[in-house]
Amino acid sequence: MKVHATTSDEELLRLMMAGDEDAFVSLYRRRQGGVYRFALRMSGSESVAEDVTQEVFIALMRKPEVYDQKRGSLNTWLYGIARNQVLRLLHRDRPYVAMPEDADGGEWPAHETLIADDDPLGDLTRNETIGAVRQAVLALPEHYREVIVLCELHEMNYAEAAEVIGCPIGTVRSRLNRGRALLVEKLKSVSRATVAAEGVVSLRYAL
Amino acid sequence: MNCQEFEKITADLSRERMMDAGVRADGLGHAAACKGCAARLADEQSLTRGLRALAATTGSGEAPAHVETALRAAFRGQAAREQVAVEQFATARTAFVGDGPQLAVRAIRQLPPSWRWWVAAAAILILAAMIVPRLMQAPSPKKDEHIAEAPAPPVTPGQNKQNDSPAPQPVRNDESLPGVTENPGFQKASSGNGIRRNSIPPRHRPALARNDRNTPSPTPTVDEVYSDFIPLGSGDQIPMESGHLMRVRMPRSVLPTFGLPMNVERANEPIRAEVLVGDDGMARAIRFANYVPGRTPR
Repeated sequence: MKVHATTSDEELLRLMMAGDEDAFVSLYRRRQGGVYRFALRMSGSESVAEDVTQEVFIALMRKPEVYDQKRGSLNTWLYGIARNQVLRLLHRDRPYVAMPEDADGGEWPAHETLIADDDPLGDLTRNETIGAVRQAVLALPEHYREVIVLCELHEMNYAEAAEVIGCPIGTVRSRLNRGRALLVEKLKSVSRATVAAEGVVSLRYAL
Repeated sequence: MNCQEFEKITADLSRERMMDAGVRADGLGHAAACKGCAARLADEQSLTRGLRALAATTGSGEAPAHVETALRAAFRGQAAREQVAVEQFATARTAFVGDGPQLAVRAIRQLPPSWRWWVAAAAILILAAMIVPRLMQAPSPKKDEHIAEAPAPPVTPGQNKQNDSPAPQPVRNDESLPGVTENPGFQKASSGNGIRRNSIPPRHRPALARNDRNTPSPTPTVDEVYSDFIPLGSGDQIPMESGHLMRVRMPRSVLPTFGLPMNVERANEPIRAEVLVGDDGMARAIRFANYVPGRTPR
């Protein structure tokens, strides 16, 4: 397969539209990770993330002419499609989506690189904390969750997130502040419950 | 800075994003003096650490390999689906001739889906009823006169006939091309209209063309004639500045969908065609190779 390491997204798209399969594959490999992780973080489900990733790139190959370079980057356009697909799937499957009940639940795999040999207790606490944050994010209303995922987990700036969501930058900023406040409240309640049940340190110190 | 103003910048402070240095200093000064805001900032900083840890846990997640495999297969099948779409558009397009084809297509789009097929079918029948008798009554050819008007250029043996060379002109062939000069609906192959012929390298052509590797290559022959270009698409596309011709093989049964008669005895045999594709990847028009009414296309 021809490698398009330095070719721009837009050039790859043009080649893809001319029938170049290698260009399509290069574009897919370059952008699928972000799309997949966004869908995973929004839904908490690997199967949903797979479906969304597939749908995003099928949409790209079927209607590439819809993309308008003047309105933003191809990457944010793909995120926008992914966002619509995630919301569609979540709304369709809402009665059947099960949120993880504890820190060990859910489909997100533990990341081995975060576990250090010299401080197992500290790392255990850290993994529990990560689980609590993950649950709190998944429990947010969708319009707050997507902003948190884009700005905090994908490190997009306000303008990029606004492109993905299709709203003004000010809306992104206000939703981010409100979403973070909700997360703080949620995690505080988790921390209080943990302290009461197990007598462990507060969430603040665990983090 | 008061507490209300501090709250507006708390997230940016805790996320350590770029912000005005003066505002940052004011905010941190306020937090040092206000216990409530200091606690709020500490909470936000804890949240930021938690979110970054969460981001790290899934920072390398990627879609499974089978997704790529499925997408590659879908890409290869895309050309076939485009062919179906082209036929559907052509059906609507050729069903309406005259000054308002775009309006007609828009009107069809506004109909309920089930009605569209009936309208398209009725239009095809009407068009076929109009065209077929006219084609059947076409007078016999005056080949010699026409050939004299457009002498064939010399064709050098071994010359690359496919890329960038002047398109081959038809040569006199009384046995194979009767009626060509007399029928205004058909013309000789020519690339003198600014269209790049096969300008995309063979390996970059869509799957439809690549899938034809096992069959004889559709290398142009010196005596090919083509029908006129038949427009495709909805008519509201961006005007094409340049494009290229893509050679394809299609079932002969598609001819009626373009308002052209078909030799029923050879309905199962493929027919060669050239699709005019704009640089935006959209199919704009199609013409059929060696299609001569009343004769068997090769």
